Amino acid sequence: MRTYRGNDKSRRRRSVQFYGCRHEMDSRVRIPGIIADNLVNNTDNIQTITYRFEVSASGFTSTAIQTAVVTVNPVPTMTITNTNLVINSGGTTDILINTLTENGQVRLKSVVKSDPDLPVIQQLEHHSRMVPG
Amino acid sequence: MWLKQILDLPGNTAAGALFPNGTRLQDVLVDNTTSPQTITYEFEVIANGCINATTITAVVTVNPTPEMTITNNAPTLCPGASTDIQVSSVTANADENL
Repeated sequence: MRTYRGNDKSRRRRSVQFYGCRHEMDSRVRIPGIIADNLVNNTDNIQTITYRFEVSASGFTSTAIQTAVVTVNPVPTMTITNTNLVINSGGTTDILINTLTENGQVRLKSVVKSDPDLPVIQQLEHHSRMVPG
Repeated sequence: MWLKQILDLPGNTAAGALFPNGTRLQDVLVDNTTSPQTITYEFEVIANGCINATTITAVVTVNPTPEMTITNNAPTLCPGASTDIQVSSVTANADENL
């Protein structure tokens, strides 16, 4: 019977919130098989996980090690701080945009203008026209 | 009428613009209408080809420049007559101060 066992997380110190991978001791399975780990990266940085495999058969374990490296991207996060909630005509907005996610960028998805005094139904009609497809 | 009015708020950054960390969105907005307008910016974050489906909105209210009209209907008075100065404003919530 051939088996595999073992994995090794790279960047061990930075990936303490990186979970979902199997443990070495419970990873002995029959081959062929599929490793379907649901990995969660709760950090702000890209993480990698390295699975290291050894194979044994009839009590004899090969010294050859093979690896499979998987990169797990973090969930992009952002914070938006709107300082000037009300401005006068000709005034300047001040919206601070932050994302601590590695390689993160914030995109302005849509801009909708409305008259708050208009009936709601008219604002909804306007919204559907302004949002880009 | 209402459609023309709510479109008359120029100066905003167009949708699709990308911002790196620490950027400030500073639009100079002009309200050419006669009532306060709101503009809603909707943001989404992208990293390494992944998009977070949760968006965040920022709403800004823009007040119009107050305008007024003064009409002096009786620039010349006979003795005992009263002035007739008409004061008006098309701007919402406007108060004229003498």
